[in-house]
Amino acid sequence: MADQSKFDRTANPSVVVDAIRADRYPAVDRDLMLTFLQLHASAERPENLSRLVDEALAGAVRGQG
Amino acid sequence: MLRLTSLEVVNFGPFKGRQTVDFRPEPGVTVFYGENMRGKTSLLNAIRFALVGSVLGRGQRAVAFENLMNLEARAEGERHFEVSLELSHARGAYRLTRTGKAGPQGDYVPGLYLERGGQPLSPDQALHEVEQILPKDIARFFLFDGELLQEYEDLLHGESDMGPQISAAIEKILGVPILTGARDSAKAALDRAEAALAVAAQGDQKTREFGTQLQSLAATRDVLTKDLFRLEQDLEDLRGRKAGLEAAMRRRERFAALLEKRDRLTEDLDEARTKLAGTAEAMAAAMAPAWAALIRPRLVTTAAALGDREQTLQAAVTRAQVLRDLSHGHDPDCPTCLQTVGAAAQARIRTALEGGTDDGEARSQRELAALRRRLEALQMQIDAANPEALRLLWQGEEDMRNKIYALEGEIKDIAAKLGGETESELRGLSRDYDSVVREIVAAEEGLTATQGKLAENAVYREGIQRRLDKLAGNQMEAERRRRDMAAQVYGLFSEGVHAYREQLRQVVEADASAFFLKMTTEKDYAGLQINETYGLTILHKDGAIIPVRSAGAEHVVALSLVAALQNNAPLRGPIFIDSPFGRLDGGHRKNIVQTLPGMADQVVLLVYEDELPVQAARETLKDQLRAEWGLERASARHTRIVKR
Repeated sequence: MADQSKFDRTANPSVVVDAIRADRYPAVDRDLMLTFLQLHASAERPENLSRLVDEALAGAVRGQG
Repeated sequence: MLRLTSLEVVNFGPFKGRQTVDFRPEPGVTVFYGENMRGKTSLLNAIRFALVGSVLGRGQRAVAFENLMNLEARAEGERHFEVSLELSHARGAYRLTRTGKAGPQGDYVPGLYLERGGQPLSPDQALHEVEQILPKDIARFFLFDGELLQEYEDLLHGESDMGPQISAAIEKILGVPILTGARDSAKAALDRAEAALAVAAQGDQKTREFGTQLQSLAATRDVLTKDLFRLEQDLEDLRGRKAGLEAAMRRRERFAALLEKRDRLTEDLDEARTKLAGTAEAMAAAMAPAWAALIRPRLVTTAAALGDREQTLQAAVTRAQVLRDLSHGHDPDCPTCLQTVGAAAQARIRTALEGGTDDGEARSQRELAALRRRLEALQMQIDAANPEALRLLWQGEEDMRNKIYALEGEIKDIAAKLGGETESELRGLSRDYDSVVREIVAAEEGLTATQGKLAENAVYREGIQRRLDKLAGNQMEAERRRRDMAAQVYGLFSEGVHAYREQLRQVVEADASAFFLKMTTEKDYAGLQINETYGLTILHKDGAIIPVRSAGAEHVVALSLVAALQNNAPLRGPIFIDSPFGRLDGGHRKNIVQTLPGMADQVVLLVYEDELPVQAARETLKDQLRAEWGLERASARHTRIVKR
C-alpha cells in the first residue's frame, strides 16, 4: 500500500510533467510543454494537429535563437 | 461535475407511458426500491441508453432496440420509446434525449437529440457534445452493476484480455490520454524532423549518401510503424473479441455443462447398444435348443429314474465284486464291518456265489455303462434347455433395453433444453474462441517481430544521424535543432506518462484503501494493493496478500475502486448502483450505505427492500437521504415509478 507522505495527491498532469522538465529537460521551454498539453486536452483531436505541433516546435527553436 | 437533474422514460422497458423522476440538487443518496422483475436494472439501462446510446445485456452483448420497447405499449400500437436526461455540467445545462422508433420494416431506428441551454444542437454537434460531456469509456464507471463487477475482477488477472481495456478506460477517466497524446505527437514530430533533416542532407554532395540512407530508413520505419499500428489495432480487436467470447461462454456455462453431459450419455448409449447386440447374439445361440425346455420336466424325471437305477446297478456290481474278493481270500477283511472273514465263512460265500452266474454280473456292468451314456446325453439336453439361463439372458436384454430407453430419454431432454440453435451457437463459440486464440498468437508474433525490426531500424538511424551530424559541421543547423527539440519533448512526455501513471496508481490505491477500510468489517485488513492494471488486492495487517476473496469481498473492493476513481477523475458524475447488497452481510451493508455519500455527490441506489430495509436506509443515511422512489407493479409488463 502506498505511503501517502511520498506523493503529492494534488499533482495534475501538467505539474508532474513540469517537474520532470525542470529537472531533466531544461532545454524544453515551459510554454512549449503547456502548448503540447493544451493541444491534447480535448478528447477530440484537432484536424491540423501535426501542423500546430510543428509550428510550436519551430517557435520554440526560434525562441532559443 | 456532471449532475443528473431529471430522468424521463417513455415506453422504455417495463415503464409504460411517460414517467418522470426529478433528482434533488443537493448532494446525497436517492434510493429506488423495487422487488425482483420490477425494473431496477431497466432503470439503470435507461440511464445507460441515454448516456451511450445502447444497452448491454449479459456478456456485454448489445440488446436489440426492439427489445427495449415496452411490450404493453407495443401491443396497444405504440411504436416509439424514449429516454431523456436533464444534466447540469460545467459546459452548461443539457437535455439529452435518445429514442427508438419503429421503421416501416419494424426495425427500430435510434435518434439522438441534445439541447444546450434550451437550444437544440445539430446532429453532428450533438454527437460531439455528448462525447465531450461524457465519453463512453468513462460512462461505464458511473453505472455499477454485475457486468462492471466482473470487469473489475478481470483487472486482477494479467492474462485477461478485458483487463487492459478497462485499464485504458480507467486511465481515460484519470486524464492519462492528455499525456500519451502529447507523447505520441512529439514522436510523430520527431519522425518528421528526422525526415526533413534527411532531405536537407541530400542537398549537399558531402552528406548526400547519409541523407539517402536516412530517408530510406525513415521510409522503412514509416511502413513498420504503420504495420505496428495495424497489428496493435488487430490485437486489440482480437482481444476484445476473445473477451466477448469468454463472457458469452461464461454465460452459457450451464449449456456447456449440458452439452458435455449429453456427449457422455451418448457414449454410454453407444456402449449399451453394443452390449445389447452381444446379448442378442447370446440369446440367439440359447434359443436354438430352447424347444427342449418344453420336455425338460420329463427329461429331468427320466434322468432321476435313471439315476436311481444307476445307483442300484452300481451297488449290485460293487457287492458282487466284494463278495468275489472275499471268497477268494484276496482280502481277508470285510470292507463293511472290517472283521476278518474266516475260512468257513469264505466257503459259504463261495457256495452262495456258485448259485449265481458271471453272466448276471456282466449284464449289470453293460447295463450300467449304457445307462451312464444315456444319463450323460440327457444331462446335456437338460443343461442346454436350461430356462433359468435363458431367463437371465432375457432379463439382461430387457435391462439393457430399459437403460437405452432411459439414456435416450435423458439425451432428448437435454436436446430440448439446449435447443438446436444454442447447441450450434455453443459449438460455434468454441470454434470461434479457438480461432481467435490462434489469431492472437499470430498477431502477437507479428507484433514482436515488427517491434524488433523497428528497434533495429532505430539503431541504424541513430548511427547514421551521428555520422551525419559530425560530417555536416554547421550545415543544416535549423533542421538539427528542430529534431533535437522534438527528441527532448518526446523524452519529456515519455517520462511524464510513466511518472503520472505511477502517481495515479498511488493515489487510487490510497483512496481505494481508505474507502475499503470504511466498508469492510474485517479489522485485520490493512487496505488494498494496486497492480499495474489498477487491479486491487486485499492486504492483511501482517503484510500478507489475501489470495482468494469471496464474492462479497469482490463487491466491496470494486466499490472502493469506483469511489477512488470518482475521487481522482477530472470528470466526476453520479454513481448508479444496482442491487449491491445481495452478497453482503448486515455489517457490510450498513458500512457501505454509510460510505455511499462520500463516494460521489450524487448516488442513486437501486435495491429491493429485503436487501436494504427502508427504515435501515433512513437511519443510516439520515440527512444524506435525498429521496425515496418505489417501482410498483401495475402489471407484469408495466411498472410505475412512484415517489414515496
